[in-house]
Amino acid sequence: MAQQSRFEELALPYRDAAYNLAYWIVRNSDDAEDVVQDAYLRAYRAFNGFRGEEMRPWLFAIVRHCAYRLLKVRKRTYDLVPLDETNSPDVASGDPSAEDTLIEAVNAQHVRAALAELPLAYRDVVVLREMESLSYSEIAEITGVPIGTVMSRLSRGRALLRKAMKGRETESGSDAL
Amino acid sequence: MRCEDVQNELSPYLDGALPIEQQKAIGSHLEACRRCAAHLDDYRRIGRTLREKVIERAPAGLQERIRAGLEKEEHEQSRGAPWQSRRFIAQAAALLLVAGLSGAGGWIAATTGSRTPPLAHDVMTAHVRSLLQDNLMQVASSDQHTVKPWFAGRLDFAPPVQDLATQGFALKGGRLDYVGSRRVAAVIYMRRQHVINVFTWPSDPSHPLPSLSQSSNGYNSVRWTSGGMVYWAVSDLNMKELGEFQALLSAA
Ligand SMILES: [Zn+2]
Repeated sequence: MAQQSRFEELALPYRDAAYNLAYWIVRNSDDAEDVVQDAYLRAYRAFNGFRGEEMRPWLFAIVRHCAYRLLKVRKRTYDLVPLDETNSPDVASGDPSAEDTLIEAVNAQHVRAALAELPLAYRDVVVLREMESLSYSEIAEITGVPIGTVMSRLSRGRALLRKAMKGRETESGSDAL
Repeated sequence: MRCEDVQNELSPYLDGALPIEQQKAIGSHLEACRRCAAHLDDYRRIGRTLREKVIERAPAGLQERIRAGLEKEEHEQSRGAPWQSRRFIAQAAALLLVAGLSGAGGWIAATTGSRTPPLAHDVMTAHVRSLLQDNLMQVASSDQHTVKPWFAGRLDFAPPVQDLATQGFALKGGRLDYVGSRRVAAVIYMRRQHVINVFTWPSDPSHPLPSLSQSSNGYNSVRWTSGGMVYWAVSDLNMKELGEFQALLSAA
């Protein structure tokens, strides 16, 4: 019982963040809730092996693992690893006159849609960095890839988001405000 | 600096993740270049929007449902479902401890020769824990060139990782674990359906660990030191094949 309350005290404060991470991996609120409940149970069972490390990355790694497993079960694994991972980010490619002007208005609905369409390998890194403000090394720990890969995925993810925003801006004309 | 180069580094620049000289160089480019500054501003505004308007809120009652799940788990532990229970792990650990202390080929007395059993106990529970939980591997790969770099930056030493698939010991991946109070590498191999955890850490010349071959509670283990590293392989694989595995690893 003491164990349970200690676990709750350490882990429950991150439930909203855990849900947000799960949601942006599975992109569906019912699945996200299942993932979070499953992850908390697994974390609790494993709590004996938890030795005073940082709770948040440890918990997020479990959440992410459960979310990926659910996707795998659903066979929606097509976007797990980006094809151009080994290439340089090449952020600045494209028509410079179109690329380098300021996005006129950052519309939340557009950002939402752009994030939802981001390949998963970039999406979870962007969520962990931009929404949860985790460090590169924490993200490396959670995702199990080297820090350099975190850096390049984040670079690519941000560039793709910006590109998508520009595309939407052009589509909807100047009424993006 | 060329704009293209600057724009390729804007993401790590924004996070302050570049070496200080590069941060400075990009900073002064941004003061002079409106286009690159606008690009960075896009990143900033998209980031802020993600934080402020795109975060998903957890549904009402999530906390209660998580707690109810934990309560249920506690109750189920008292009746059955042992392999899924946290208590089982504690009991398995306790069992190992007792087996060791009772002597006669036990882990602990045989390994350290002292009354306290820290290493053998930790290695054993780490192995059992890795099987019970869903965290056998933190990096899953049969490619040593993927597994090796994964450890870099996570450990202050480079654990040897071999691909022995052609000899029947397939590399599966790696994981960080704890033995004693130190972080160690766990490299995972498979022989048929048998998981082999190889725990590795630098040996301490002032406290050399003798080679060791042990059977206990259905698990076999082999320990040896080579090239300044301690290796400790644990598996439910039979001792003969575990010995072959050891020979292959130390020969490579
Ligand atoms: Zn520029």
